[in-house]
Amino acid sequence: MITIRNLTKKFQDKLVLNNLNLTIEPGDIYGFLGKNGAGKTTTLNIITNLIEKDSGEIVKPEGLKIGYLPESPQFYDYMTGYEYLYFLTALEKKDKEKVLQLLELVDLKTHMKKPIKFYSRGMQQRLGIAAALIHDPDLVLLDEPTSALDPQGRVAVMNLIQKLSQQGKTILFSTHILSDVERICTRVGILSEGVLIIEDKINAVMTDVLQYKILTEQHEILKEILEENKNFEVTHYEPPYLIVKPIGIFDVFKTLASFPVEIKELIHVKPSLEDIFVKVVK
Amino acid sequence: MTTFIAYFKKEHMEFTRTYKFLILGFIALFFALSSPIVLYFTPKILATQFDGSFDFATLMQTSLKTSFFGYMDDVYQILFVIMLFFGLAIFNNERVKYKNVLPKMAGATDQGIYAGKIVYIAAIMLFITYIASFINYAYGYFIFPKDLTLSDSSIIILGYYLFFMFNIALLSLFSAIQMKKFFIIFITLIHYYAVPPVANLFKLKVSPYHLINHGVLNENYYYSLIITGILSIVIILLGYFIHKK
Repeated sequence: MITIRNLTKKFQDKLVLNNLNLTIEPGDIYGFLGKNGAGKTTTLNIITNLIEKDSGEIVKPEGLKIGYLPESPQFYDYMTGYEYLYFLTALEKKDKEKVLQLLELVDLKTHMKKPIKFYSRGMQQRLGIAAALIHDPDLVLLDEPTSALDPQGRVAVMNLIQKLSQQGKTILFSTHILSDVERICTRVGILSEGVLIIEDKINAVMTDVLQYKILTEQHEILKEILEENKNFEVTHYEPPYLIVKPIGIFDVFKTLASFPVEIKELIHVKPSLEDIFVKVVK
Repeated sequence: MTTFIAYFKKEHMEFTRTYKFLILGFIALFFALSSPIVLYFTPKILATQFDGSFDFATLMQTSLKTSFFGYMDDVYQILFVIMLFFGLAIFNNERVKYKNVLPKMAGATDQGIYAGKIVYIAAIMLFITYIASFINYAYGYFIFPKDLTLSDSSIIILGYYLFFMFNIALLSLFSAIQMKKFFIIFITLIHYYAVPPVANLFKLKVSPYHLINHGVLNENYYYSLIITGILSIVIILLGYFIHKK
């Protein structure tokens, strides 16, 4: 749907994006991860033409409609939720029906006559999502949609993202709340210092760092066997366990059982996305 | 055009709901009603302080014309300072506070936003100042000797209004070129208060500064009206094209 090639952006002397390459496929819920200042918002602002790139290329289909929710959406807060969305439709074509549908979708219909300044942060975020959907975009970009929300607000926004995905929207959302990404994303990209260091399906990323802890009294022998075997990589010895990483997908238990070593315990270590993030960003 | 109309209406909503309209209208009306009466009683009050031994009426000319010009000077100075801050917020908030992001994603254009705002300010100021100034004129008409016609007062209001809008146009242009707030305030205030007296030293026959000079409504005054109007439109168009770019 969108391919970004060698995107570069500097602010004064600071290189924010350094030859960034990224691909968003149709139907993705793409988790765009990175520390604060990694360049996530800059990338989104460039995709939406809010700021100009220095160099690089963004390939997107002709007429692709993009909706965007900035990190802290700013409204004309003297308007009611209904008035704000109606004002946005009036920028192209007034559409009361559309406004009511969106308010229903983001669960704000009961508050639609209340001025926005009285909305909670979560309600404002949901109104922002409705605003991003006002012209029925194919791709929805959400910048930190769950940051600064309480757990209830976060769950509501996550559910809304899943609902949008079910409606056929492609979604990219940047966040540093990794549990949200683990929960709903189909693909993930990790940005560090302006470079995308990981981009893959979420399962592939998780599998890539899958590890096993093996307890055996013959760890020296096992280490030698594993080092000769191309299916495993011995990462280190963490007494009393030998830590290994499988290379590729195969039946680990069966393979280990075939070795002439008595294995007393085998622990499957499934790292969280947070572990992966900390490891790769470090 | 849709952005222009949507923003024109939005500005109206903002002016009414955030009491901007009320504040500007109240100030214009308050001075319109209070200044003639203050001018009328000032010589009398001063005379009581001197036991009637000095005739202040000979020193202070109290006529419809002096009352009207006094009001125009006072009210426009106050309205300008208020409008400077309102205007800064109106022109800068979109960009500085990112309020324009969601509208722009929904199809709004920068030039449409700019045009909607400046045309609304021009319209609302025209409305407020003409209504309040005519009230002041009518009030003065019953109190003071009648030395100013209604048609002349209409032209004087237009002169002050155009000078006011000339300054608002400059303010919007400085905002369009993304000048820092402090510099916008500083330059615009200097232009409004300090430039007219300095410009008078050059004895220009035709200039925007002529319009707030209590001048005679002669040919030069009318040329000044036209020149100021044209200059304001040129500055506004410049701002428009900067946004379009």
